[in-house]
Amino acid sequence: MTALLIIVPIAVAWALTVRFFWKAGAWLPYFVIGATGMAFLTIFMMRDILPGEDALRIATAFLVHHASWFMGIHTELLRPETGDLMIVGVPHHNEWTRLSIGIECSGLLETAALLGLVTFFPAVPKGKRMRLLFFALALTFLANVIRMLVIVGAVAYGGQAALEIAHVVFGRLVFFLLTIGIYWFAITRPTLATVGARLKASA
Amino acid sequence: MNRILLVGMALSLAVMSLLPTVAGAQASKPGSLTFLSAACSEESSIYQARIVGKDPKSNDHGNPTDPSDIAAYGCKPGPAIEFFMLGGSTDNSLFADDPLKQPLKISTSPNGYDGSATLISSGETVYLEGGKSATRRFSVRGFPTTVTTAAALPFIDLHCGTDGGNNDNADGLGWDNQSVAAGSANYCIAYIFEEKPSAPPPADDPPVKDPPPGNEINLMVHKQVWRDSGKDRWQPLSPPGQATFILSDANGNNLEKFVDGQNFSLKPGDYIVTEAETSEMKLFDLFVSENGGKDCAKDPDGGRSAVTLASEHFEKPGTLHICAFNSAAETGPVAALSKTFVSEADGVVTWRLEPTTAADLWVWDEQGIGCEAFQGATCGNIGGKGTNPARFYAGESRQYLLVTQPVVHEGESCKVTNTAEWAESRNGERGNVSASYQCSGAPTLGLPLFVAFLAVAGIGAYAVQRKLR
Repeated sequence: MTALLIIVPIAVAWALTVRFFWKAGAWLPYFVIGATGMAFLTIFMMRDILPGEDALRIATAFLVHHASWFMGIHTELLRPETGDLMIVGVPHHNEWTRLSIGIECSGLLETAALLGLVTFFPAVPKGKRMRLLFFALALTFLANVIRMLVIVGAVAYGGQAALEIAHVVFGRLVFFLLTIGIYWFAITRPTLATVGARLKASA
Repeated sequence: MNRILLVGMALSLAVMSLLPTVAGAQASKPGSLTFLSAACSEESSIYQARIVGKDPKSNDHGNPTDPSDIAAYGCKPGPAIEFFMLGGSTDNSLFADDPLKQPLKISTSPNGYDGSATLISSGETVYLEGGKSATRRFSVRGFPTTVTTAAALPFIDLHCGTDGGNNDNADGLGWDNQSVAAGSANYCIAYIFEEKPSAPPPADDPPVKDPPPGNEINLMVHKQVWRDSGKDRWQPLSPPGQATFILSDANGNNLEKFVDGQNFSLKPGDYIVTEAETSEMKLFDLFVSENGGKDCAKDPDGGRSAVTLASEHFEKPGTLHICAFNSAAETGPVAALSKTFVSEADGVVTWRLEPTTAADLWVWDEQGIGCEAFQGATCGNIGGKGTNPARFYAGESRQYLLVTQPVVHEGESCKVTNTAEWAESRNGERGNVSASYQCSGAPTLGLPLFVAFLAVAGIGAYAVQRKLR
């Protein structure tokens, strides 16, 4: 209830501001405020109002767990009382590692950012934007799963000593590269196509 | 007449007033439960039923479990064993004493002895409140507790009261809530398979007869062992005198023990020479030296484990040489301790310790703060510094311990290592096995990386802008 009392006025204020800039044709502030506001509101709603973050954690952990088994890594899926869904990495010479799927590993932040950026990107027609968004969100989820699999694989084959570097460097690098590809697909490529079409039309 | 009526009425009232007291006294009298064991040979009907897959029941002979069942099955009173109450039984439902003041302690485990439950010896009687419904489940210590699945031989079956199904080592009075009548006598009987001892040969009166013909000889056994030291041949055991042999008469009665290389005289007669069993060496062949010499030059063919001496061996005086060939006994799998992670909750990690093969093992785990034993293992004081270690026992399979250890969380991070030691004897040489558990609290370095990214992006944008100019 408290969350609703906070989020509703903020959402209303945000919506009015975005509409103002849209009406005024001030596209830069429209885009910046619209995208960032939507991202923050999405995160807030998914964590405190809807069980969105939980659903993302469950889905991520579930997919990572089954994909790990497919790769020959016998992980274990646990959900302790705190609600964090975890995967326990396979023992590597009598080492067991618990990988907690928190907000960072759930992909929620990236999903919310992508949602805001694509929804309020004005250069692409609305229908096309929504189709692109659907695929981009799915690809972001899969990219996050791949990031987790990199960490699971590093721990399973390299031991607990590999956890830190896998978590901080390798997993993040893989996700970063995949995200660049997703943004290229969802924003850059359609923008280049739109700009290119306009240039041709004006030529 | 009126006086008679009055007296009669008074007597009736007196009797009626006493009846509730008598009835109440009867109702308060506890029931008894006596634990017995039965030894059953191959010929017993319960063993015969068990080996063909049947399930002998407690009422096979018309009544709930009763001491007469033992003889009815063809068994006899059995060895001293111990019973205990399984986890899941109702607290304070069974007592060591008739006034019901000393309740028996129940195992914390529904699947075996936890090391602290009260042990009830066979032949012992315990007591329970008559008319009061409770769950009372029992198992026999020293045999793996099985619930609904048949226990392995030599355990045949356990019958308690009316419960005796499944040939398992878990039955109850009752398995679920059940009451017994006040003052009733109830029984639990464990049926154990025991091979019938072979009857000793009848003691014949020694016939008076002439001494057998022949000469007194000397007998000597020469031990040869196989060496895998590159020479790959049989070599005399050095020094001699390490192997023990047995001289028996024709009826198998042991007459004398002697060692290899020992020379002793033997009067004519019928004898059998065998080697005493040893765990270090396995007998490969045993025969009279073919060339009569003590060098035992001929390679053995194998398979003979006894030499029979008869009249032909006593025809000529002298020394009879026997050759015994041994190779190293096959070693079975070496037992070690295995440790696996089970779970982590509320700052406590649980490890599972179990032997890699059934063996007598002593186990220490100084980091352990709690322990639960299953399938016949015992915890002792596993966390103590060697004062009372945990135990695994040979002959009982699938034993394991759950050992708990605290773990401290620092935010998302935690790490704990556990080392357990084991030995084949309390003071024997110890092996050890370690395992570690870690939480994924690796620093994400989000802000530093973000700053680094901004810096790279800014430098890149500046460079592109300059190039465009």
